[in-house]
Amino acid sequence: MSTLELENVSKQFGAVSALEPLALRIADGELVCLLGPSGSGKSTLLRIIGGFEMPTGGKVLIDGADVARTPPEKRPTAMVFQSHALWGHMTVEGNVGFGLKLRGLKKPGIAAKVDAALSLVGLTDYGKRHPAQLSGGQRQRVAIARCLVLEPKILLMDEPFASLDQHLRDRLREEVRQIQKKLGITTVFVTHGQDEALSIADRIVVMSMGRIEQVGTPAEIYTHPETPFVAGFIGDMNMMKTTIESGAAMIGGVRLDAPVADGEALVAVRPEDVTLIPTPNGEGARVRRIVNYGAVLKIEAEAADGAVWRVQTLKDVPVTEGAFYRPTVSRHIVFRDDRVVHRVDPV
Amino acid sequence: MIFLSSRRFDFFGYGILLFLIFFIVLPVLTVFLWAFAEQWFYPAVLPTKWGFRFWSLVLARPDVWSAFATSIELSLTVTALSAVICLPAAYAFARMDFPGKSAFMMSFLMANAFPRFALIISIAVLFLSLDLVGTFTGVVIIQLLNTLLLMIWLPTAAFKAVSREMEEAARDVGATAWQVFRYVTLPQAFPTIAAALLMTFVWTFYETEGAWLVGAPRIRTMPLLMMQMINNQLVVQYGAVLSVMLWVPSLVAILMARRVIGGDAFAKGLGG
Ligand SMILES: Nc1ncnc2c1ncn2[C@@H]1O[C@H](COP(=O)(O)OP(=O)(O)OP(=O)(O)O)[C@@H](O)[C@H]1O
Ligand SMILES: [Mg+2]
Repeated sequence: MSTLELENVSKQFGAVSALEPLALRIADGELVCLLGPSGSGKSTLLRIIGGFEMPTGGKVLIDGADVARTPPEKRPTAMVFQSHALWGHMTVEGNVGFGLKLRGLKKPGIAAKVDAALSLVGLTDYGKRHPAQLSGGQRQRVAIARCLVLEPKILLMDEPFASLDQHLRDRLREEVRQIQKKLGITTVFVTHGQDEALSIADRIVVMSMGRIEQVGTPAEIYTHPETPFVAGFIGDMNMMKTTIESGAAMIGGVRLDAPVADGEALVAVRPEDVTLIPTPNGEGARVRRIVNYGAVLKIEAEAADGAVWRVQTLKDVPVTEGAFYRPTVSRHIVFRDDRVVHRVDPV
Repeated sequence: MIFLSSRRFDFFGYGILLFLIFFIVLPVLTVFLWAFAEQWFYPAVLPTKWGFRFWSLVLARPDVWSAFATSIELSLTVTALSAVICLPAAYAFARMDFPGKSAFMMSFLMANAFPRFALIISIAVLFLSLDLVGTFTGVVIIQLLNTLLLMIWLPTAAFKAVSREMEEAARDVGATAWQVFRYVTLPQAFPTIAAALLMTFVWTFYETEGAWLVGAPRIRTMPLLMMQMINNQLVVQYGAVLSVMLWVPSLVAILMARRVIGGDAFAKGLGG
């Protein structure tokens, strides 16, 4: 039963501000992904939680106790590093058992716990090997076992699978999710892969330039982005600058509701929320490109005013390159001054 | 090595081989032969009478044994002191940032780029005024200065090569700063450090310039004794026997190094 709360946590590196004061609450047993572009402060935040960086200000509360000034060895957190960071001069057992040895456990006790941890990550027979004799995926599994064996309150992972190939990454991610659910361990997972975040997170924290842009479930983040940054960063999005006149925006031959004051605005539309309806006589938008992704088609259609719609349809919808279609939009978001001012969802 | 293994440069390889034979193998062989020769008259290719007579003569000399004891004591003292002084410094260089760090590192290199003999002479002059000439302490200090670069540079590189994340991972599972050093950093850097210690020992054992300028005549190390014998005595065998005897410790050291350190440690120490 462990919760994590960040209150006003900020971090300066000299003149560089890596994190603006931010707040975050993570519930017991939750898996939260920190997602954001390079340099947005994900690692810094994770390292502050793990105790490897002191925050410039703010509190880090684990189960209500402030650990912001506690060194990493005294924190109930455990971290999986991107580079696995296994100790090459120790065997797999030595690596996993090291923390227990430091805690003064007796040998039989250590062996039992190490065996259990290794079987949890599917490496039962690998205890006597050295890290150099393992594959990249196996090394990360050992690194995970090394953390779990200590039964930490919070598990931290910093792009743990970034150096692995796509296939292995998907598999390990699934395994981690299974283990995490089984143990009910509160987890913070850093990634800059949106697929990764969308597929395993209970909630996603989107970060940009040392700030939290939005916190929400994958569905909320995907369908209801609260800032243009989140809208543009996650998934494909048609982001169009437009001028609103008398409660509507005209973009690429489509009239979109926008009951707000006249003036500049930004409209965001997901490609899969655009449907193309064939028109008889060269009206609407011309399809200039179709790319087949197997299950879906990605289409670019150019409207008469020069605006380009990116459209995604299921593979069986008949579309022809060069032909004309009228785009219809079932869901859109209107942003002004970096905030949502109007949103239309399909009924 | 690359040349030797490539067919096109075979003649090159033979050239190097001839060079090695003429300038290294033959002289070494000659010394060996002399060490076991009791009589060797011109123009015989091999000694005319073999035997161990000169070995027992050399081994019976008290000055040989005292020089041997001096050399061992000196090398051990220098290696130990160098470790005590340099290893913490190397760790600091590798892990901490402080003002003047790079200037300090540079000054080391500069001092070593300076002609050695001239440096030693100026130090000897300084020692003269400090009454350190002819004392064991004086020789220890000059040898210590000699090995400083090696003992700071190699271990610094070794400590630097230990990844930060590895150390942080140790902190993470509960190790204190000292335990991280003891169980992770030191074992990771150990092969290179062992190499540096061994080189310091061997280097000090065989060093002559400093030992002679600062130590002579009261402090006599094995190499100094050997030089003296070769220069002053007409019996070639004394020098030859001592040479062979002196060769043994370095051979043992190298064999030990191969066992303890493993092949790539030197490269690892110099890289990173
Ligand atoms: N030790 C440090 N000293 C100075 N600046 C730092 C330090 N660590 C991080 N920064 C700066 O803080 C900012 C955030 O870095 P951070 O490593 O947290 O980003 P990140 O989101 O993890 O990026 P990436 O996806 O590339 O890992 C960056 O501008 C970075 O340059
Ligand atoms: Mg990072």
